[in-house]
Amino acid sequence: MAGRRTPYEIYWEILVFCKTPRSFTSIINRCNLNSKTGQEYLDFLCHKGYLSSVQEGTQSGYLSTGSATEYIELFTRLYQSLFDTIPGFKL
Amino acid sequence: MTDNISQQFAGELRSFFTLSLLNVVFAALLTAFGVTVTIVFGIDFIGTSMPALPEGDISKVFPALKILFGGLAVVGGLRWIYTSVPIFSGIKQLRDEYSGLKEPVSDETITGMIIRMISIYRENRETIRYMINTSIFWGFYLLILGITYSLKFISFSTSSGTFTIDVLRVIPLASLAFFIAIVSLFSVAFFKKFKKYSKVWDLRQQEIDRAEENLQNFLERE
Repeated sequence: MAGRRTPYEIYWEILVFCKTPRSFTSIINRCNLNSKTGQEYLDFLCHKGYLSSVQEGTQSGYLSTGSATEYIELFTRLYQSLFDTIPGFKL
Repeated sequence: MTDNISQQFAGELRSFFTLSLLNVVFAALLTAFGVTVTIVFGIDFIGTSMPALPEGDISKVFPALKILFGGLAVVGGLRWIYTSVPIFSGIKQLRDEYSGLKEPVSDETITGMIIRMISIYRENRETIRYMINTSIFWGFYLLILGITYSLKFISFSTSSGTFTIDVLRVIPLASLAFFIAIVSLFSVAFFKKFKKYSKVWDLRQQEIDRAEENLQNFLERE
């Protein structure tokens, strides 16, 4: 996803994508991040317990935890409420 | 809730897509009209300015100014296209992706789309403001240019006080006047619609700024 996103939006995208185990490369490709910032985001989420490292055969990956589900739900609720509380745009 | 939001999102996406498309069309019309005016007055100017001008003759200044105004419309139109196309292509990509989704759209998919939409707005906020500020100017500019162009086919005799209209060009002239009026109206409509669109997304951005505090607190909790 290109464009200007806030860190919270990027966290949400990573956590949703990692509902099934994902490799580092697939995460940075999917979330349109460079290696350095991608690693920073993953480190933060792992450190806070929203992501866990998993080993699949010879490859390591990341998987969202139960706490991540709470964050995803909170984020989804907040963003969807933008369409509930503010009158929309129509031609 | 998601069905409702999905429908509302789809409606807004359609509206903004149409607005972006009309915006590109407006820019293309401005450019095309600028090119027409520049060429028509340019040919006239070249055709009449070949003989050497007597010193102090300023009769060629006005035709030269008309060419300059035409050129300015071309530059303005091209700049408008240059700034409009990225917005249009971003929204088109989003619309195409949304049309490819199967109903019912999941919570996460629709939230991802909302993030994309707000990202497009953040990325193009300055451009949209520029468009809001200049659309009325270019609408009036086009109107004045069109009137100047239309007058080319009308001649006025000061001695007899009579108008002469090139009959063969009366219909194109009337069409042109109608076209200019419509395009000028468009500019006012653009101004209002872009302003409304911008207002809606500015409000949403303010809500997001407020929500970020909640999200931060949530993420930082131990």
